[in-house]
Amino acid sequence: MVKSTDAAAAQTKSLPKRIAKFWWVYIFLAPGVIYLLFFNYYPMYGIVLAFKDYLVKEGIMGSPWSIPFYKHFIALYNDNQFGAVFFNTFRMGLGYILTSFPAPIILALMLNELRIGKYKKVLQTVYTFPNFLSWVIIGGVMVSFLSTDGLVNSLVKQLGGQSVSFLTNSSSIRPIMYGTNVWKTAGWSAIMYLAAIAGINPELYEAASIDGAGRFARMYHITLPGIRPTATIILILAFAGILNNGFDQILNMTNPVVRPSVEIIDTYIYQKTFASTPNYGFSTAVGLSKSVINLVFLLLANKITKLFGGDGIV
Amino acid sequence: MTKKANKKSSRKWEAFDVVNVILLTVMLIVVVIPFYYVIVKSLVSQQDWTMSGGAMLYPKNPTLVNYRDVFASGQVWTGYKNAIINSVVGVFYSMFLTTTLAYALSKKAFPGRKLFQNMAIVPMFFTGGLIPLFLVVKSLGLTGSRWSVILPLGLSLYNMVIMRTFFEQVPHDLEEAAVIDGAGPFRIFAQIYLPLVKPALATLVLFYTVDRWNEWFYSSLFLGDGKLWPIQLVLRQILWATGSFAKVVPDLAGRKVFSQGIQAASVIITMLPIMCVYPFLQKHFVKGIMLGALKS
Repeated sequence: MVKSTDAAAAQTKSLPKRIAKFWWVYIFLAPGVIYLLFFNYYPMYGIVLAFKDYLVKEGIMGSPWSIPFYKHFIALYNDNQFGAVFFNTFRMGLGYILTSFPAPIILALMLNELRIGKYKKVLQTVYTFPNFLSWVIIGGVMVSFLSTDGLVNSLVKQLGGQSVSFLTNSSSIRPIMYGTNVWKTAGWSAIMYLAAIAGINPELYEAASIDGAGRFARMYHITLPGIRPTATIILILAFAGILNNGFDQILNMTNPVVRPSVEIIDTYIYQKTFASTPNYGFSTAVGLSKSVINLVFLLLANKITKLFGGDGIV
Repeated sequence: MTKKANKKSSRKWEAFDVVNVILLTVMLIVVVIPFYYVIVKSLVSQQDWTMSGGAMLYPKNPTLVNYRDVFASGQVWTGYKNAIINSVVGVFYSMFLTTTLAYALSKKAFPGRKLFQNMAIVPMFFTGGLIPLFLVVKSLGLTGSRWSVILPLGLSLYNMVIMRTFFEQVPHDLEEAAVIDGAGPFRIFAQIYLPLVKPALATLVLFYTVDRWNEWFYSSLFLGDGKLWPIQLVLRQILWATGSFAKVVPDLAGRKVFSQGIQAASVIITMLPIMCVYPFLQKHFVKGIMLGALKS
């Protein structure tokens, strides 16, 4: 039966014998691999739809190829909304990164400086809580909080001011999205930085204190370099996902009035496919374009980090 | 100055500390207030709410009438039941996939390891996208049944990688000793490996449970029938089409229902399980993110 999984011994045997020896590993592999084939690789194969005219009866495989095969991409190029959507996706992606990347770092630095241990625990529990609620719930909470008859506006009115329709105003909706996103996620993201800070050698701080470094000097010269590797990875992943931000939030916090100001590729695909007559080929072409750009961004971000002496992830 | 005082003075509260505590407390209030506001709103009648001008410090004449109206339709009960079924079945399924695949990939010497390894990593960086997945689920004939939501959301590869790291850290001689005692590969997995990675299992169960509980998107795509909707989707309906929901609530003695109050009550009902459980399990969640940080 199963003997030692000693790699060296295994290498000396022939392939069928080695497979026979590890038969049980393949049984463990089977469920996961079947899952991946059905729900990751079959959809990946489904990308061919970007080059096909989808017919419900024929399915993904049987549907005929488009003529010319890049038909949907021409349609995409000529689509009068896509340019704006594409631009807005980048703008919002950047907006999300510029707000949700620094916020948890600042929060972690502040929490780290807090002297009262018990209070720190309470704060962490409260700050991290919204992260575990769905955008459906947060959307409900925030809409009720920010709408024209919500708490913020009620207070404004009671103080004699004019109510502001934050959620139906196309100029305020994007900042609202970034803000509520930080509100939901920063506490949780800060934990990662707190873990990194906890891993910094305390002797460094002692030595710096003896040398007369003040609190901010220590923060700048010890803490920040200490969390740099973590921050780098998070930033790479953020840039790799720049086009993925906000889908769930947008669907749960915005109404049709302001939708054009927050339309991103994902919501565009969603709206094109599920709110009107679907053109699956076209939608897939949009999705494929997005996936490719995402991948390019990931590789670029990774390359740049390596260029600056970081570790990278791929 | 005594020695003790000296020591203390190095930890003296500076202006910075005071400002820091104040700022952190302000943020605490900013996080709590929207929730508090919704709770208060859910506990008052329309009349009291309108009279207060939409801002109450605490519920005056607290009433459960909004909660009664929410439950009167029965939709919320069904939603709860569906969410529980999806969560329980889904988490079992996800944990099964995650542990088996992670365990297999933690083994170093079997032929084809590289291939399977890459097979598990590629989808982390490149996916087919929404439409192909939608059509695949449709072509598998899953649409309109629970399985359309449970099956496609099986495996988080990120969680799988964490789990694999844990299996790799189990000392090898334990397995060898078990082999000498005549234990087969499945017994080794179930009786040696799984108990040793229990903390990681617990954390993953938590994450998967939260994900399942919060799921609404695939449900909205695949479950046409409202009878299968999980609570999140029911809530979404209540929030965005409140007029239609108010019609579902039986008209009680000609009283008009308080639609904002119903929305607030529905939000609270949906977040209740997480609200009750989270403070106690928070440290396990935190452990989870540490695992992730460790890995990266």
